[in-house]
Amino acid sequence: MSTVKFLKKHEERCTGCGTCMRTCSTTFFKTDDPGRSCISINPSQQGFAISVCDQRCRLCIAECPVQAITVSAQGTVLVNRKICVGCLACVAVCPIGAMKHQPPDAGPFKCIACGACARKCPENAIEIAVEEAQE
Amino acid sequence: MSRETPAAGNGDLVAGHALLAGFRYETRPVVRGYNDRVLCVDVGTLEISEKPVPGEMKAKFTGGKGYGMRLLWDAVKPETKWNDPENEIVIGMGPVCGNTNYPGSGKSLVVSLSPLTGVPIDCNVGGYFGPYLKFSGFDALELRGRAKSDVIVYISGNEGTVQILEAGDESQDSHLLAENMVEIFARDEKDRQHVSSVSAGSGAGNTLIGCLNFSFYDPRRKVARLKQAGRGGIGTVFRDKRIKAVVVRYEGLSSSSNNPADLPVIQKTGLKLHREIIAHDDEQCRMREIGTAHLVEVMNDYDLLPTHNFKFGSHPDAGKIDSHHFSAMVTHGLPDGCWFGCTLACAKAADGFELTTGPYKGSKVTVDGPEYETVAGCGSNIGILDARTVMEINFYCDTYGIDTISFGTLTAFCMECWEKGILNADRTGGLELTWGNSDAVLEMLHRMGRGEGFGLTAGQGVRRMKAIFAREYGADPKLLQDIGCECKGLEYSQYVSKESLAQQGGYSMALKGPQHDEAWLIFMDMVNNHIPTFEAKAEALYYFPMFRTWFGLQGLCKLPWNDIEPADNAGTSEPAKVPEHVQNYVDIFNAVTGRSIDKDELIRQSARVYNFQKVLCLRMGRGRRADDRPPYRMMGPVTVEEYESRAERYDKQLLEQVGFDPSGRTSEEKLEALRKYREDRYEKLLDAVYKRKGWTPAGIPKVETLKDLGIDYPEVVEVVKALGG
Amino acid sequence: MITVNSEPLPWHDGMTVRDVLTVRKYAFPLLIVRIDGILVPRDSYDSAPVPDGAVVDVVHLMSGG
Repeated sequence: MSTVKFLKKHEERCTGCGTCMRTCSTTFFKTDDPGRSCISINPSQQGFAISVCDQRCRLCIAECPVQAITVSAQGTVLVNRKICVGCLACVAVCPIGAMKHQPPDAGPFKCIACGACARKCPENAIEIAVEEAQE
Repeated sequence: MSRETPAAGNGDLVAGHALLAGFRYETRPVVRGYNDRVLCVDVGTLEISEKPVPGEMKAKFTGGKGYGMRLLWDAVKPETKWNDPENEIVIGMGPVCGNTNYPGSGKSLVVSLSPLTGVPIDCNVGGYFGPYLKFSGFDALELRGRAKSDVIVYISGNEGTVQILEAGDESQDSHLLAENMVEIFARDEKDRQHVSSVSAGSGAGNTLIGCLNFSFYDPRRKVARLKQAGRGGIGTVFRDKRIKAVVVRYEGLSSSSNNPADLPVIQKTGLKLHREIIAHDDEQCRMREIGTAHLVEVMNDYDLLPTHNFKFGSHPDAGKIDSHHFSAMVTHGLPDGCWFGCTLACAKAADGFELTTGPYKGSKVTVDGPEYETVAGCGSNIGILDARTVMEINFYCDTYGIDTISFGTLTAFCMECWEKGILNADRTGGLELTWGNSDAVLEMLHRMGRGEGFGLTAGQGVRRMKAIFAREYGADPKLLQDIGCECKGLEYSQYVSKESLAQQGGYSMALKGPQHDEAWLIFMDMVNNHIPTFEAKAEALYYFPMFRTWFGLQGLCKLPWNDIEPADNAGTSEPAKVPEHVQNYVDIFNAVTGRSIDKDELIRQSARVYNFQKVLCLRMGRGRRADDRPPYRMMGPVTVEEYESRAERYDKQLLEQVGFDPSGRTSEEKLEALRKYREDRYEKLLDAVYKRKGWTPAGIPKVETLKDLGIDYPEVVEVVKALGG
Repeated sequence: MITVNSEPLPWHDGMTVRDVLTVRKYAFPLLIVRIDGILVPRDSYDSAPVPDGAVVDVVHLMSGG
């Protein structure tokens, strides 16, 4: 039975403080830049919307011409930068904008469910979860 | 220019093949889309060399087809024939070629003197070969000479070596050979996508309509797929040179392989178009679903789908070959770009297709295509209304290295000759070439593959068949001229142009012969009624050929220009030009090269190469006004049968446009009146277009036109001056 | 009577853009429709009314090889 490891959202708890975005971009890009965060927080009618890859839809995997996007043993969608040719088709096909790119980077980046942001979230609005993959 | 000892010495084996010659070059990065270096391989003398691209050539010819034309001019003499060793096959890329961001950026432009026309042909082809060759260090490859026996040319792009190898007993047919080349030259399974080959199948050597197959390895299907440089018989030239395959291996591709001046602009512009395609393609052209085959039903609805050798524009059973039948056969949900980053993904393929005829009968194969041209040419135009048969013809044409467009059009011509009693079973070796006879068509194709009997005759193309049928069978040359759908020696591609004067011009004035890639104006002219005057038609026949030539200078595909459009395109001043996409092209050219051209300079880049190509045609003794006249079948109804099938339309035109009252007249009289009118209008169109292009009424570029474009080189001026230009 | 791409076409009560496209067999997907010079959005062809005497432009863009 395969699983999906993903960042589970509790949007009703989110206060929009932005700690998660700062944590993500400083962890992976050594910079405090919302454009370089895999997770994004935007105001919504109910409060705040958390946008991040659900690790399930996998349209990006189907679109990649060089098979640089794969699913890890834990069930997380990963981009292999060594194989990626930087076409950004995956960015365009992602329905929620969770496959990201910042020019002039060679390729895209996305959430790998590492949990760094969840550990820092003061409201416990995000957590790492592992669920059974739906067939 | 040094010729060095190769990595391995003579007598050594490379991948099991005897090494005949080798060459080492310095690998270095591409700079702003250019290598400024050309690779020359003479398979006859076994000389391999590199030469720099002079600044003047770069400034005036831009790249791709422009480089091809310049290099071909320098290689040939006015008396050179297609099968002389000095005739070259030039594969050129272009500065924008190989970027991985903007859809449709992986094209190679192939140029050679055509066996069919005697003038330069140019083909725009996908697959990985061109971009890999470019990132291996060269803006173009010149292939010349003729080998004593079959050779394979191998370019190892990361190591910087070029080798000429003795070919082995590999199958010549491309679906096997391309696979074989991947097996031989890839280091492991993962490396297969780094290897691409150019080849031509057995039929290319037996006919004059041979195409080249450029491969691209599909890691999901696990098969080397093929895109064709189809038109004009370049595959025939390739086999005449006894080249079995040209192979390149290159790894390390990235979005910055071109070392562009401004990568972010290319990334942003590419991403914008990706998003446009993902959002709108489903409701627009369905290119991601079925590619250009979506046009079959559209053309049938508009009476433009060639049927029975272009007699008619629709077929009552056209629904049996519409795009939905092909959509049901191809595998969906795969990234079907013929180069990385093409989300328009029109390179569709059917997998596990079981062949029912020929040498591979019973095999299950992957069939690339079919594209619209193949469905129309090898379907309705020859009366075959069966999608499965069209797929089988498509497969065998490709693997034999035979152009599906010429094959369709010449088969249609043979069938009409059969109908008129010019051909019979004695003359075809038993092939009953009646409309829709699938068995006979496939058997004729296999005879081309084997080089037998009537396959050899038909493979000469329509122009040579006309001469043979008149000479051997006493057929009426005038009738053959009327129904043989070729111009300049090249078979027409698959649109009925009878009701669009502008398209008659677009086809028949096209420099290489009647292919629609210079201009496709039927809707603008016939349906929209937007270019009613000769001047308006001439303007369209100036702008669109110049604009469309530009794709070939850059290594770009035309399809992402206007087979997808931005959501707000309808509200722009000139929606037919898709202004936002034109600006995209200006932006990505500038971003790659660091230059700052605008959309007018874009047209001038094309105009230089276009006029240079025209003068090269003249230098080869062709390209005159007489060469720009279509057979009447492409202009109007040749026969009473055709007239009467659309009598209401033609009667109305006679009354309203010609001023000839059709009442009480015979169909023959009406045919004649209509023909006189249409032929007269075509001459007026030629006058208007030549004038707009800056040419004399004889179709010769004026010296002042060449001066204005900055291509008034002595050897160019000399040609036009001698002809009154 | 209305005019469609410079050719006359009989008008009927309740005529929509879709009716015009159907009668003329305009099946091509890349169309631009203007009624008396006013652009009609693609998603309203089914409902957009065509008044008697209208000058209708159905611009076909290009596509294909």
